[in-house]
Amino acid sequence: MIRLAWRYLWSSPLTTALNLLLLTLGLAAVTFVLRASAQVEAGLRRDLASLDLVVGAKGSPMQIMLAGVFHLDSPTGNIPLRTLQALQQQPLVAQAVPLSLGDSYQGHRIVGTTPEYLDLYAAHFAHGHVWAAPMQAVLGAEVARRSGLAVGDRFAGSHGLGEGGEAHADRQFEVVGVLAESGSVLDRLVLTDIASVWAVHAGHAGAHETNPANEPNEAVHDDGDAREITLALVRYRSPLGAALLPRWVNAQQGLQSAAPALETARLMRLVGAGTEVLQGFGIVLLVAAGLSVWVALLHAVRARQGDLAMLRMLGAPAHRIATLIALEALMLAGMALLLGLAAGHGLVMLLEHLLAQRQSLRLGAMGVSEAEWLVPLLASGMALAAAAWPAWRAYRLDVTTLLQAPR
Amino acid sequence: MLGWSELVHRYAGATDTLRYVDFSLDRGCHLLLRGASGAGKSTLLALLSGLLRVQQGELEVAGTSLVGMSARALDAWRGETLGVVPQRLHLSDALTVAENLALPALAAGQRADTARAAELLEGLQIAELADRRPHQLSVGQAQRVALARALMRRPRLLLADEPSANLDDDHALHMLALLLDAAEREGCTLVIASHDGRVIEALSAREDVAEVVLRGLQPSGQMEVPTGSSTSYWADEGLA
Repeated sequence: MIRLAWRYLWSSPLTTALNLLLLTLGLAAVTFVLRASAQVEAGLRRDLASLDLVVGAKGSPMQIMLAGVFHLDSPTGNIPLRTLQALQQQPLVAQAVPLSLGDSYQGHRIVGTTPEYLDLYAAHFAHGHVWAAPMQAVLGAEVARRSGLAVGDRFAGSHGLGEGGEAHADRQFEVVGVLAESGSVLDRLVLTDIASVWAVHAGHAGAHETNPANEPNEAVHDDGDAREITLALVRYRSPLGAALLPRWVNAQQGLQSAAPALETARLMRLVGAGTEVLQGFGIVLLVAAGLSVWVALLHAVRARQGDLAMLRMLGAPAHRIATLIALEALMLAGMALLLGLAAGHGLVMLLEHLLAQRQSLRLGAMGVSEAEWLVPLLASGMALAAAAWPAWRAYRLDVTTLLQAPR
Repeated sequence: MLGWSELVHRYAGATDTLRYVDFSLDRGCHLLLRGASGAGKSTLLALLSGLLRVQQGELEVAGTSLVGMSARALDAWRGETLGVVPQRLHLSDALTVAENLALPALAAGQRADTARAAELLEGLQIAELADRRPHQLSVGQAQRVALARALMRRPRLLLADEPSANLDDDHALHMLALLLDAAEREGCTLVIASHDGRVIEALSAREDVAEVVLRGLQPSGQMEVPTGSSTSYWADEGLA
């Protein structure tokens, strides 16, 4: 029966190919949207770790969150080191981790911090160990892969967060560790002791008070009270922190808090509009494909009614004839499902490649997202809906008339 | 083997009732059904092949009473008992000749018997056509393929509806010879429905063929079956 349905399906190769193309495009669009949005969300959640608050210089909370958590934007400015100390002394704060930005290596940000930052992401070492002194660096997996640097190698950072900045050739970092791939933001960062950033920029104190695009703050530092960091990542000790701490931070002069969860939700809402348009486009394609399959099957039943009547005459029960028609639609949907899933994942892979080139979010094209179970359901549901009426027509064939009357 | 008594059929919504006078065919004989369009021939064929349910009376085909059989049982019975060569041959162009021969097994939800297909194609001298598509066949070749398909499941009754329609004299007589020869070889009863004078003339000369004439709405008298039948037959169709 399956073989017969297959042969009938391809007895009109052009129609079948066109329907297959339409269905595939629709399913690929839906797969892409489901997979990409799930991966973006998972990537964002991974990078959020267990962070509750990001504290930076006055400016846009979204920018602070993007710069501090995802390392996608320039920071809003620097904040005094004593702010970190003040935060750490707050009873509502369980942990406050400093980040100092300003330099990069081949486009990868050099982040001055403490080993606690690695703990936030439960990072594991592929090689080496965490820094023990200034000017020692730990590379994220992607940085190590792209740069070819290994434990024991030395490199010099360049000024600014983008590529092409002036190199600090006189102050070289030594690679002491390489992190195992985690899929998180750590993969694309160069991590070092916060004192390294201060050391590299010694003598540049007060160089930048504001932060023009792609010309970020050097986390500046003379000594004592003049030392600065770029951002502080905060974890609350209790949920009460969410109610009180942002208010306290925002009341301080020159400080701005950003709640990553809230800002990410806002970001997803913005991205969501585009996602919905794409998803809508996929659904429209699917509906068009469903109608096309419906018309093709109706036409096929009409053109083949003699053959189907003959099958009835040969002893096939009416339900088997109807099943034959449904099988044709299901086979078409099955092929489109495989091609659509492959194309959808291929597109996600392409997006992942593009994002990786721009050192943005990490996506995974392999594997299956939770929401993707919808795709086969959608494909088979649509196939059965398109086949229902033609199958009913086939079920109700007047065999006697069809076999006797000339067509 | 084949017969009916007090057989009556009425189509839903119709006022006319088709009444078939009692008939019985002897074992080893074949049957020629004659009658013009509208005489009730198609209805009788549909009843004989189990496509229409028996509403009233008795109908026995190949030793089985079709009265009270469910639609599903009739489908199964038809597949096992009947071989059909329809007026239009209805060979599927989407399939090769060999695949067309697999359809009877497929219709019954069984595996195709390729050895049987090869044997029949060999017997009908068309073995070399197995991989061709029906549209690549001549009329004569297509008829043989349709006959082979009808014989695939070793039917006990071979039913041919207007087998000579639209054929020239040579092809018409050749087809008739093929049917008679196949019925003899396979040991099955042949039922031919035809109003073609060439077929009637050829079959009238045979002693093993009973002839039944359906006369439609005209009241008719008793008609002697020409040869080979143990009973006489007359056909009538009138108001209920």
